[in-house]
Amino acid sequence: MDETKNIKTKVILYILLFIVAVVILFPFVWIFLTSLKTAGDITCYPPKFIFDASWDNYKSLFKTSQTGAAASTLNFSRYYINSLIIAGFGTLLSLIIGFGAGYTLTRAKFKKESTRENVAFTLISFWFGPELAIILPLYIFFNKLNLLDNHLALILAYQLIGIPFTIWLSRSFFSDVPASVEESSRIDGYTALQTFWKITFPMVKSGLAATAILTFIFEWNNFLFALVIGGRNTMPVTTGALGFISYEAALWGQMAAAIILSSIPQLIIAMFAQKNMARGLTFGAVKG
Amino acid sequence: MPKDKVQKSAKEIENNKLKYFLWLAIIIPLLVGIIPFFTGIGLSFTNWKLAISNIKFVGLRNYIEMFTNPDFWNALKVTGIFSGVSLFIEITIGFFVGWLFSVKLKGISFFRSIILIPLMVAPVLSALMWKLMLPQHGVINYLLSFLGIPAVSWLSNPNTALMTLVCIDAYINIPFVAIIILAGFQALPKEPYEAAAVDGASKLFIFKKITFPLVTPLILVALIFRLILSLKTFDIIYATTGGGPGNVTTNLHLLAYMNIFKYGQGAKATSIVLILFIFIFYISYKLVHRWTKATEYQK
Repeated sequence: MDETKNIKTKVILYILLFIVAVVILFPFVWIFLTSLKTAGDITCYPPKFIFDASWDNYKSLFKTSQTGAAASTLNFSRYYINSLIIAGFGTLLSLIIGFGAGYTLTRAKFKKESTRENVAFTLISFWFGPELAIILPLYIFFNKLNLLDNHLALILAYQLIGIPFTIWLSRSFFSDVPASVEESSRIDGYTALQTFWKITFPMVKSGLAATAILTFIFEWNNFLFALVIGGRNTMPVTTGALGFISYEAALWGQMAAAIILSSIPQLIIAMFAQKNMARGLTFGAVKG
Repeated sequence: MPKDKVQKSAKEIENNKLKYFLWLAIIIPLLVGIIPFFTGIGLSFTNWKLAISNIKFVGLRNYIEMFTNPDFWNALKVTGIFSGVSLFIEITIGFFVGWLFSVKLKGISFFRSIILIPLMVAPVLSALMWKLMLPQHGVINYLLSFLGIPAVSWLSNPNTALMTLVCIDAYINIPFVAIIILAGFQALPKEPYEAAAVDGASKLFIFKKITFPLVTPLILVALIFRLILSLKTFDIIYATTGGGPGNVTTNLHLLAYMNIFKYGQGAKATSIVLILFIFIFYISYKLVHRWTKATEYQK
């Protein structure tokens, strides 16, 4: 648009952009600084911007024998591994099933055409309904089956987040590939599988990668499922981070360090899905 | 002809093979989603509590008790205020930020990647970050003191707790609205603007008559997503105020959680969460309908 030509408007726009960026980044910068402070420096007022930085908070997160009132129950490296296991295998399962089902919903023939949308909408309603409507009864089932605080049970429950999302988003990308392109490749003698790998897949590759990344982020970030049906052995970073402030102790520095470490994986991989972000976060409703 | 027939059956086999994936995609959500959901509906008509083992049918008692309980009406009010105010803030500021990030300037892609950051971090972790910055002697009060604003314990003061939560929610979700609006601005067609330039239309006229109608469907998408998700907000409230002080920040979703895990009232919790479900379902149905209408003319 033409308003960017003028120097004065340019300066104003840059100032506004800068303000937005500062507001967004400030909490991260501050929490990072907090994570480098000693307990005394954290609580002092006015807040210190210059202090003796140390990595002690990070080190203490990974010490096996911790001291202090609450420390004995906190085991951050365990939370981290749990998050990796649950979100990692959860994403893998979501992708295998979701991409297959997404492709099926795009291309397969159904006896009743309405089946396609009915299945898709039923699945997506898991995202929009309040989670507790499902997790409370699920809590009883898992309790009866002795599956509370079990990695596999959590991975299965996380599919309620993963499968609808991967189906919807991959379907949006698959339907970008014209059916006629696939048909003509079949006429050329490719099998269905060859058509998929040689024709369709290269066209949707970056879209599927974005889907995979966002699925992992959503599953890593999940809180309520883990809170209800997880437990001491399966606690991921999202519920684990809460434990640093409790009745017994307020380990602000360690909590800050845990927040920083728990946010890094998402931020790094999100950089690879930037292009498809608007589309991804709206399940394909917005093509941008 | 026979060749055709062979090909057709081969295609059918592929079709059926593909459907195995669909069955898997149905079976898992069926086991961990649909069956629990309907079990929950059934349980809401019983006296299910965590402590007791014999479950009895009690008819509509939970629902009647819920509608006569002031806690429910308070939670409904909190849900409404929280969603209403946060939606208003997020859509208006998000629209402006989305527009701002759509301008063509050097280095804009750098700014565009920064705006994604709050969206990628777990909401519960963002909420904890704010909790660390918001106490009486925290950095936020320190910064506000330069503006002459007196120090308040934002999250534990009953007068400020709910609006502070709205602000935390806005921090996380303004970027969500912004990137949707940004996508809309980036996809604007050139022709109407060229035509308007030829006709010598004013900037305000162009915005009102061309840009705004073209972006409206996207505002609606953002609105639908934000409304649905904000009505069932849980993480950020649980992590910061836990519904307090008192019950000033207890929304319906949190009330349901506390009913079961604080008071052991399983059936009451399910009835609350089902009412919330119906509420959300009705609103989203209406909005999706409105959205399909708004996008119709573009097809």
